Amino acid sequence: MAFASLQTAQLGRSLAQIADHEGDHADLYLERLEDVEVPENEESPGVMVRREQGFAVRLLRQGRTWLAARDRLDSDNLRHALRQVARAVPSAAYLPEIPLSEPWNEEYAVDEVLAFPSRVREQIRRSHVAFPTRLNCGRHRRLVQVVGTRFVSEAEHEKFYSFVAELPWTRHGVLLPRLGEHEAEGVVRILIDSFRAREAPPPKSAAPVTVLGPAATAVLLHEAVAHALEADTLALGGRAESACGYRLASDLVSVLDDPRGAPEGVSRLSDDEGIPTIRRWLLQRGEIREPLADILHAGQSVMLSPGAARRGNRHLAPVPRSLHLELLSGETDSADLLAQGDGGLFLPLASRGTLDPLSGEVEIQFPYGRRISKGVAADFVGPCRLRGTVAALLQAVTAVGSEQEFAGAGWCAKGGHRLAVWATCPSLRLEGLEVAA
Amino acid sequence: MKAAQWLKTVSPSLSRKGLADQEIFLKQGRSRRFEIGPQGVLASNSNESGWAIRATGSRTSLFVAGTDQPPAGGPWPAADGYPIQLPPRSPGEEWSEPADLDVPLMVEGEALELFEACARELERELPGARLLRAVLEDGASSSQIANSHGIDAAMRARTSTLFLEVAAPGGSDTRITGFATEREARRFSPRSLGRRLADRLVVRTRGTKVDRDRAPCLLAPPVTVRILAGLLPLLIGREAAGRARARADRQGRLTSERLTIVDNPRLREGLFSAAIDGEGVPTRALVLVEDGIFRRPLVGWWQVEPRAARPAGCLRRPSWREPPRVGPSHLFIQPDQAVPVHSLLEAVPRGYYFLETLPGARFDLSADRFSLPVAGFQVSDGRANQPVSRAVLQGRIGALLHGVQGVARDLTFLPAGSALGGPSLLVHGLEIAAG
Repeated sequence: MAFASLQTAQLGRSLAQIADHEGDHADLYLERLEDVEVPENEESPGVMVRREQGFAVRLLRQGRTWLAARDRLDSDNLRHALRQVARAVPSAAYLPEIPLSEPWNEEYAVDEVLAFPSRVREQIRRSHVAFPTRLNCGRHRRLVQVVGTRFVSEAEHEKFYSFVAELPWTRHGVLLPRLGEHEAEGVVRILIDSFRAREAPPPKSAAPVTVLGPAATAVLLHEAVAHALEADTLALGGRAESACGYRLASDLVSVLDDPRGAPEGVSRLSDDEGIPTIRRWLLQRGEIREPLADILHAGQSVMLSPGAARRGNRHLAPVPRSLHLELLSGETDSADLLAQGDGGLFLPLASRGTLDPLSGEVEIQFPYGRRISKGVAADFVGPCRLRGTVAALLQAVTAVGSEQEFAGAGWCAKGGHRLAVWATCPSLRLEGLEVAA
Repeated sequence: MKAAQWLKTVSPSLSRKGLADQEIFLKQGRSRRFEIGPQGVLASNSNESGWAIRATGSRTSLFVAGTDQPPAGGPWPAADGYPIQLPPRSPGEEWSEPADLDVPLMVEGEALELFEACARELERELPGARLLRAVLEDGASSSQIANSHGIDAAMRARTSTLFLEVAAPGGSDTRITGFATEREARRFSPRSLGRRLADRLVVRTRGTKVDRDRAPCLLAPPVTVRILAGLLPLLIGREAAGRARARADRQGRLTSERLTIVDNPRLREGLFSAAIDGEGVPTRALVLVEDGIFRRPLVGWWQVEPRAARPAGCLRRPSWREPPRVGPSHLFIQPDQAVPVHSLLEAVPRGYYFLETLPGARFDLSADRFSLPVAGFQVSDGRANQPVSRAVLQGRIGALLHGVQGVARDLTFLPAGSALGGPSLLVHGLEIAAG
C-alpha cells in the first residue's frame, strides 16, 4: 500500500517554487484509502470494496488557501495541480516529471471481515438469546504521506474496523481497533442489553444523578470538549486563543488529545499536514489550556500549536480535529460511582452526539440505560437524551471513575469530513442535569 | 476509453470467476469550492475520476470500485454476494440535455462577488445583519455505464450549492444558516437569499413562543419539504405500497384530494435532470399519489408489478463509491399554478405562517404520529404579524395529510440526498404546541 518510489527531494523543490512569498506554506498530501464492507442485506452485492488514491497540493498565503486535488497519481496531474495552486507559475519554474507511485495491485484480503459477524452470531447463540439482526462489518485502511518544502513526514498507516448491528427496534454502530474475541464479546453484550431494554419505557424527565459509562463519556468528551475547543469552532466567536485560561468544566475534568497514545492501528506520529503530533492538554483541572489547531490557525496566534490537523480526504482542506482523547482517571471506584448514585441513571453508551457551534448546545442520545438501585445498575430504561450547554454539562461532573477504558467514540462528520475519533476514559458522574425522553 | 471498451477489457477475468453478467460505471467530475469565514479565504479545485464494477453469476456477485482506471485483469475481491440482476437495454423517450451543462464553472473572483452581493442584500433587508461564513461548491460530472446486456449510455450533471451563515444585528448571539442549490451557480439570487435569511433572523430574534392552539397553518416550502421527507417510507421501496394502502381511507385516499406527488427525473430545471438512471435505464416521470389516491411506489425495475410494465429508471447513483439504490430524483408535491401564496395567506383569518423547520422532527408512521418544530409568524386577518420563534406542529400524520386545503404555485426544491420539492400548503386542523 506504501508510496515506495516517492521522489521527496524533487517534490519539495517543486513546492518551494510556488511558495515564493515570505510566510508561504506549501505541501503535497498523498493518500491511499481502502474500505471493505460486508453488509448483510439481500439487495447488496456481498463484499463491497473501494480503493481510492490521489493527492492534493496546497498553498497557504496570508490567511488564504489554494488547494488542487486529483484522483490520478501521475506527473501530468501533479504539474497541472501545481500550476492551478500557484495561479501563475513563475517563468523560472521547473516542474519536472515526477513519478508519484507504482500501481496498487495488492490482493483483496477480506477473510477477517467476513468472519467477524459469524463470530458475533455464535456468541449470541451461546448466550441463550435469539433475535433477528443484520450485521454489517467493515475494514478501513488509510495511508497518508505529506511532503512539504522543508520536511517530509513518515508515511502513516491506519487500520480499524466498523461494525453495525441493525435490530428490529434499533441500530447500534461501533468502531473497533481490531476484530478479536474480546471485541465480539463487547458487541454481544451491547446487543443483549439492547434486546432486554427494547420495551423499557424511557425515563421520566427529572434531574437525577447520571453515571455515564466510558463509551458514553467518550461521546460527551468528543462533542463538549474536542469540538468545542477546535480553533475553527472557537474562531466563530472571535479569536481562538482568547479561550485559553477560561474555566469550562469542573476541576475534576482534565482532558488530553493524544494521537500517539491511541491503540495500534489508529495512533499517529504526525497529523494530516505532516506536523508531529503532541500530547496536548485541552482541559487541565477544568481550565482550557490549548485548543486544537492546524497550520492555518496556529499561524494566526503564538498561543496555538499545529499538529492536530485532519482531513476526510484529499479533496478537503485540513481542519483542526481531535484523534484520540484521554480523560484522566479520578479517584472514585466504578462501584462507588453507582453506589453514590442511588435513584439515578446509568447510561453505558451513547448512540449519537451533536454540538451546535452557534449556540454551544450539546445533545447526547442514549439508546437505553439502567436505573441505579441499591448501588447497582438495575431495571432497564428506554431511549433518552441529555441536553445542555457545553459549560453546563462539564460543570455538572461530580466524580470521575478510577478505571480508564479504551472506547471508540465513533464517526465524526463535522464539516463534511468523515473521520474516526477515539477516546480512552473512565466513567463519569454528573448531577443536576435533566435526562429527557 | 469508453465504458463499453473497458467492459470488454475486464470481462474475461471476471468471466473466469463465473461472473458472466457484468456492468461498468465510469465517472469523472470537476468541482470548485470557495469559502470565506473567520479562517480566511479558501479556493479549491478538484478533479475526480472513479469507476465501479458489478458482476454476477447464477450464485454469487461482487462490487468493487476505485479511482483512476479499472485494473484490466484484476485482482478482484471474492464474489460472495447474492446474485443480482442487471437491467436489459430498453428504449427511452427523446431527450435533449439542458444547455447550461456546458457553462463554465465559477472562478474565484465571481464567487467572492457573489458572497459580497449576498452580504450587501442581507444588510439592506435587515440593517446590521452580517454574513459570517459562505461556502460555494460548483461542480460538473460526466458518467458512462455499460453492461453485458447491451446497455451503453452516458449522462452529464451539474450542481451548485451555496451555504451561508449569518448573524443578527447588534450584540445578539442569534446566528442562522441557509442552503441553496442551483444547477448553475450564476443563477443564485442574492436578493431573494438575503430576504429569506433576514425574515428568519427577524423570527428568531423578535419571535415569541406560542401556547397550545389549533388553527389553520400556511406552511412555506421548507416545512412542506420536511414533511415530504418524513413520508418517504410510504412512497419508496417494496414495502411502501402496503404501508400506504393500509393508511388510505374508505375512498382509497392517502391524502387530501388537493395533493398530487410526482417523481420526475426529467424535470427540465431540476438539479438531477437526466435521461437515464444509475444503471443506464431510461428515466420517466411517475405519479405516485394522484389527487390524494395512492397509485404506485417507487421501486426498482425488477420489482415492478406487473412484470410487463415499463420500468421507471429510478436507481440513484450519486457516487461511483456506492452501488445504485432505489430513490427519487425530483420528488415533489405538484404546485397549483393558479394560486399565488398571498391568496392562501389572505384566506387565513387567524392562524400561523410557518417559514422554516427547527431540529428535532419526528415522524412515526407505525404510530401515525408526527412532531415538527417550526418557526414563522402568527397571522391575523390574512397578514403575517407577530413572529413566532418556536412552536411544534404535532398530531396524527393522517390528519396532516387529509387537512391540506390549499396548494400554492411556489414549488421550491431543497436537497436532501435527492431533490425534494414542495409548494406552500394551507393545512387545517393541525395541533400547535409550545416548543
